[in-house]
Amino acid sequence: MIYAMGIISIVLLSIVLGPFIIPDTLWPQTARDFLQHNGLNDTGASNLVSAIYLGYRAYDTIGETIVLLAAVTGALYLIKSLPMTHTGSMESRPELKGKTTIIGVTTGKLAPVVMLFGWYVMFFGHLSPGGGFQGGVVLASGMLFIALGREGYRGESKLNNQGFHLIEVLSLWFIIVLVCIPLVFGASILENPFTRIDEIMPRVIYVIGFNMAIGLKVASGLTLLGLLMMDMTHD
Amino acid sequence: MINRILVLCLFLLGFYGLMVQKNMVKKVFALSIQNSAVVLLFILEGSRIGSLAPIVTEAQAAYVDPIPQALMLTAIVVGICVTALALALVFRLYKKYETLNIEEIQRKAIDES
Repeated sequence: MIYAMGIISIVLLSIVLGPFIIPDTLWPQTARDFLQHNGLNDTGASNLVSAIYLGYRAYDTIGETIVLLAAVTGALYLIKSLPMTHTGSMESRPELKGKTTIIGVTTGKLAPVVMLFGWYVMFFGHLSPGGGFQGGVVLASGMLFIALGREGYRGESKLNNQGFHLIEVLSLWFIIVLVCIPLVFGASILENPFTRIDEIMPRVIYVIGFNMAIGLKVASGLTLLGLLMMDMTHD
Repeated sequence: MINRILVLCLFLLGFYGLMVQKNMVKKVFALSIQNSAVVLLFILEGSRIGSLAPIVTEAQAAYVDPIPQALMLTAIVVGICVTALALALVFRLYKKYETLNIEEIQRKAIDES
């Protein structure tokens, strides 16, 4: 019954969506050409995707970080508000069945390299493919490697939830400060302030600072989510 | 042409999974598949007018359109948030009703009330 309903619904949906997706109409080039000629001058980022999400559409980026904050907060509330049946935190667990050679070698040797690559992607997001979000995700995966490999040594590990809460809140304040800095220089909000003062500081500093703040925020948020879900006990 | 049809099929597959599957974790996977299909469609559209990464160099070249890429950056992050929150909700329901089957959860919820 439900399978027939599913098939009927995807047939109907394909009738609706097909005319949108299938035809090969010409994609307009005006926006691309405008960005190609003005993006570097307006924002100081030669990566045009960074120029959009940190320059022209920076409000979207602020909203996006708030969505991430809301998701992390909601997941924290939903998981932490349960009465915990089993506190699997401090004492070393007797069975270490997840500890294999693959995990040991991968987490020990690969995690610093992955985290270094994440910092590279964050710092050079204005010049090369990358940016705050991507670098933050790579950084978070490096930290989750470490969290995977520390099973049995949780008491000695410095990687705890409180530190990530602190980083998350501090990077949110960093973002708010970056939003308000242009007002000091007489520019409008979220405008790159260093275009107004001539050549004292390169204007790309604003983009780099935004990338760093967003990267730290994404990294701490996603690591928090990962640590939360790894702490879930299945029984 | 064929790649558009494949993207449409991927989206419909996600929709079908969202409707038909009774396991809630599989429903979350289906949402993630739908999100991926939308991302693929936008990236495909933006790459129609060029083939190079949109990084300004000296030579004028045929870049891809950067606007769909910037939009999809947002969509990917929001997709991750939706997946994480949905999984947390599923965990909460599993703790309460001790099953992942959505029909059993409905039955138990009706019995309780």
